[in-house]
Amino acid sequence: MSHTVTREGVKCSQEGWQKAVARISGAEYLGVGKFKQYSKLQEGIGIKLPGYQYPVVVDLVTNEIASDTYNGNWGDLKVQENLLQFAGVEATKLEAASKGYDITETLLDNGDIQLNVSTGNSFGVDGGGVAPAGGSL
Amino acid sequence: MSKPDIKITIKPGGKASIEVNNVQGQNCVSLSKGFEDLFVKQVNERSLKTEYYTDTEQHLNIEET
Repeated sequence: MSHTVTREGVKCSQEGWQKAVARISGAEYLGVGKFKQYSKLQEGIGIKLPGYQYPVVVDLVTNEIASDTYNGNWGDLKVQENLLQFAGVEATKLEAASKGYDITETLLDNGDIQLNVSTGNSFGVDGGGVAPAGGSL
Repeated sequence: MSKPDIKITIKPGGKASIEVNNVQGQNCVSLSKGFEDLFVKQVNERSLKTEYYTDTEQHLNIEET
């Protein structure tokens, strides 16, 4: 093993958010715009989550999520946690694809999602990640 | 040596644990940087393993072939 690190706060492209939303039954990707919550307008990527009174909005600059659930009364916070998890998964998949890496996804018993990224023989330095000829990584 | 790989575990809420395996020397940081950057806030310090301090001469030779 070489190193481990723990991080949070997902930075995800619009494509990634769309894919994350598609994984939640009843959720709807609303695109980029201004969206009304109870007492304010929020600008960014709007996402309507099932059971939510107001859309959650992803800030395009900070990637922070603004939601108005009135402490869970206007929307189940667990759904939002799943959205963030899926956004992390889809962002990771897109990053792996951009580098030509192979990736597999496994749902663990505790609800975590494990992604295994295979980098082939390139050792993964910048410019690497080329799949070996004649087969997948 | 086994092929280098990265294991990323993501919890509901988006907290991610990133583990790099089978990479000698400081190249492990380069390998995972793109993935680490997807999660903007570092929760704990990087835990370096013995391979991090291993001479990368072998790695560089492989890269050049």
